[in-house]
Amino acid sequence: MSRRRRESYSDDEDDERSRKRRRTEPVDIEDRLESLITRVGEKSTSSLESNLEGLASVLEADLPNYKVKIMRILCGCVVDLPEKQTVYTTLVGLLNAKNYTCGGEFVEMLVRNLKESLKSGEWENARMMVRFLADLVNCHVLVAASVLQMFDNFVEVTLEDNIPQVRSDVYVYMVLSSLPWVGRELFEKKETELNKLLDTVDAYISKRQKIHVPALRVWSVDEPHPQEEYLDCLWAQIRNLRSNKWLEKQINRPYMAFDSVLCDALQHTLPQIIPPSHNDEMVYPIPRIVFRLFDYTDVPEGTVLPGSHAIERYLIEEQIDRIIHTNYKERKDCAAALLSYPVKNLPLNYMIVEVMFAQLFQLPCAPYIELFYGSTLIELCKLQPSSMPQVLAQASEMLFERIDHMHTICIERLVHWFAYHLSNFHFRWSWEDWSEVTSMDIGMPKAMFVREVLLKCMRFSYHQNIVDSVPATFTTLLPEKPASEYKYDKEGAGSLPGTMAAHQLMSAIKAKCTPDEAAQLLRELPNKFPNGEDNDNSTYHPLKIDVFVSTLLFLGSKSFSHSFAALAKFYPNLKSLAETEEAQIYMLKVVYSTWRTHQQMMVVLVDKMLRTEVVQCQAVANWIFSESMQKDFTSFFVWEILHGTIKKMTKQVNQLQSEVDDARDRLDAAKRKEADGMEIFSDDEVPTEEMIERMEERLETATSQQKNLFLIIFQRFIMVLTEHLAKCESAGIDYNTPWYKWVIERLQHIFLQHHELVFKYINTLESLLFTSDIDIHILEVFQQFCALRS
Amino acid sequence: MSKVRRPDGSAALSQYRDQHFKGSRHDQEKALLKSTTLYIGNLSYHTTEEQIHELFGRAGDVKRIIMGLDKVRKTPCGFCFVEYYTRLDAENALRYINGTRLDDRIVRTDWDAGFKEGRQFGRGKSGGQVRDEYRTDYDEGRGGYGKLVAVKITRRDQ
Repeated sequence: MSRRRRESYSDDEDDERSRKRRRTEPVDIEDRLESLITRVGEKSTSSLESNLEGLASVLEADLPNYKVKIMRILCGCVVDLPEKQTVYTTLVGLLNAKNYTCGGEFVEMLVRNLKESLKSGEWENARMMVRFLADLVNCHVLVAASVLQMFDNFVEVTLEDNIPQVRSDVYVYMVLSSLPWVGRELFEKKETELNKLLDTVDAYISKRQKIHVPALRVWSVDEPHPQEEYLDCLWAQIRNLRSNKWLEKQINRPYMAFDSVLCDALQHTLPQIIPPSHNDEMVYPIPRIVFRLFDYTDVPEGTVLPGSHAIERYLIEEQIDRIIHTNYKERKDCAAALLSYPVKNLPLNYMIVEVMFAQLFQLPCAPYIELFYGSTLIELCKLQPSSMPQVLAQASEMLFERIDHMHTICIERLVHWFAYHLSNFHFRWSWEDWSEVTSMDIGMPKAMFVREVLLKCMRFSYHQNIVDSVPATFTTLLPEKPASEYKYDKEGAGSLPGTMAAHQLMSAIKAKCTPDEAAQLLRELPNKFPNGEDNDNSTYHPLKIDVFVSTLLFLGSKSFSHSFAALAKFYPNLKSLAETEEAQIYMLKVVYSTWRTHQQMMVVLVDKMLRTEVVQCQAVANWIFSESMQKDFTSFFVWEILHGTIKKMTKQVNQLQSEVDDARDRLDAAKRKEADGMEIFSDDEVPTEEMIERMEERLETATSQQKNLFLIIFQRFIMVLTEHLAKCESAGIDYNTPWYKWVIERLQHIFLQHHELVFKYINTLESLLFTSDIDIHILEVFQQFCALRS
Repeated sequence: MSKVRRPDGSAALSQYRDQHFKGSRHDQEKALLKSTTLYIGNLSYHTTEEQIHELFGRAGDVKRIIMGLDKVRKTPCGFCFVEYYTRLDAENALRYINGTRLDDRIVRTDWDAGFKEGRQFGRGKSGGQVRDEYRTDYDEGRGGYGKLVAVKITRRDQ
């Protein structure tokens, strides 16, 4: 279905690269029909009612020739334009009143689509269709009892045995989320049956297990707002609606204006819609918690924020979610659509900000890339320059206030967003308001937050600029000035065993020597450490690694490109120095000691070394958990490196997998062609069976490397946490230190960030690592994670 | 061309075509539609690779950054290329970074047909970008006045 296109001008550009988009002219009748149907309900000089009336007449006239096309377009609107649902249910109602058969055929088509979506696990689409069908009761297209029957069939899923909870959740959710539309009708026509349905739902909701909830909470405490599980929250909102006799004021219902026409229409009965039975391949949506930032005391006078259990809150938030979903690829359109959502007397910009942050902080992952939120919030500020920046500032203050109990993952996302936002506003902020951090221990959440924000701001800018933009009292939180450290040029270097070789190497590289010539200069070095101590371990040669790598990095210190060029030119040397894991870990230590103050440089260097396979991902993981990194263990850049490592491994496996799949497909296609007696062209590049076998071998190696990486990471976590818990117990002190909070939540971060992958290893993790003798605090994290899918 | 879906909106191709491109207009369009490289314009002469990496890294993993250089002085002259590993990441940069600030300047992003040796140099007569030859405004981040204006001022002051 074609998206409607609008003209848009980018006022930020001043030359011929402007992006005018032209409205497409409908070419033929089908295009015209599509255009008419998809555009109804948009801003118009005539009233919505007269537009609907007109359109219904036009479509009725076109039914003889274009019936199927029209119905397909309408079915598309159900799923693609749910924000205009009541416009389209009204339209279908009018068509049904004019042509009973047409109404019936539309319902049949929509029900077919619904059944398909349920089978293929397209839950959001299914939910929109269920809601549409429910609303059709209001338009006299469907008999209330038959929609109730569909609801009953869905809720019956809660009585199935041996199913994952997420299965019954999704069906109950579909029913509940339709009730705001059709609750009143069902109450008026079928009160007893409706009550029975709701009793079943109530029984289900009260016995649902909630083990997964702690894994998804943004804040660990329920002050000032409880973080409810999404189904609990919706159920409370529906109960409130019920006690209000199902009357709500939020939904716009154009069909009310046509009551006299519609009430004469004949209604249809829904065919039986039975949820397809569960199978192990079915993937259900994972649960979520409802994020709350504002309450009625936070919003300006004269506006009313609906309570957290008011159905209006749900309806508006859902609408905002939908607008984002429709427009996320075009940030300017998104911001405009968000701000033009019609509301009366409501603090719309507060609700938008709350929903945006809800998505940004959503666990396990945000629906869209983090950059989308930062960029779109800036667009919102541009469109409402006198209010939106203040709302964001207020939100930032409130989030900072509550950081002590915020999940590490969310703190990290907040750091990323806040630094990005400041970088678009000259880094101006009222830092003095946060001066409490200057007297805190640097490991405390608020102090860590400020420190990491300043580090990120420095990456966008430069050190002196950040120094200048904070008060003098903030010195302890400022990052050090990034600079490389090279021991062989310092005072006292004369006594080090590597200095002479280092200087020779430096001159040789400056004189453009070859990798071989460089390697020669290291040959005579004894197997010692750079400080002169002997090395008994023959698997690696620390002095050679230190002399070579620190000199190379020092020479390339001018920029990323210089360093990359150096690494590339002397790749053979690096490879031969890093043959064992111990050697690779030592090499990473040298990178650290060279660039300790330039975290960004460390991140890109480790990335490059991984991509060129100078170091393996296991080495990076073991290095991060090694004693030498203990001091920086809770610093954010360390986790940037670790997650980057996991991501690269994952991408590699996915790449190899798709190559194997592609090769298999091409081989199968060629075999089929041969069987059919067709010619195979020489440039078709058909892979041989041997080639595919080799690719599969490489894939298997990568896959087991990937699994191994996770096992190492989890094992090291268990070790480091167990040690802490044991130490605290024997010393009689509380284990819940700031350090513990960071680390246990970093463990959760691994689970959540890569949840789809980690789920595949659940059995191995359970039998090998997360066994019952593990401390309960650590085991809990694993159990909560498992509960996400059960 | 029909096999490749034309991107629309923010990820669309602009009107700009590189006059020095070796190949036909059709070749250039094909390259643009498959590219994972972006041209970034309106940078300050002092914007560093690190700053570019931090901002553009938000759209996805950056494969490499090539700083645009003055042909004569070999110093940054206000543009660069950012190459991603995937086209989707490049699209995200166009959608969310184009028109926002880097080093306190609004930057512009556009599809590029792909880096080739030599394209990192400005094509203006003085060695920088063409736009800096003729512009008449004073831009502190880009060497002050445009080259022609600067020459006129020097002559006038002599």
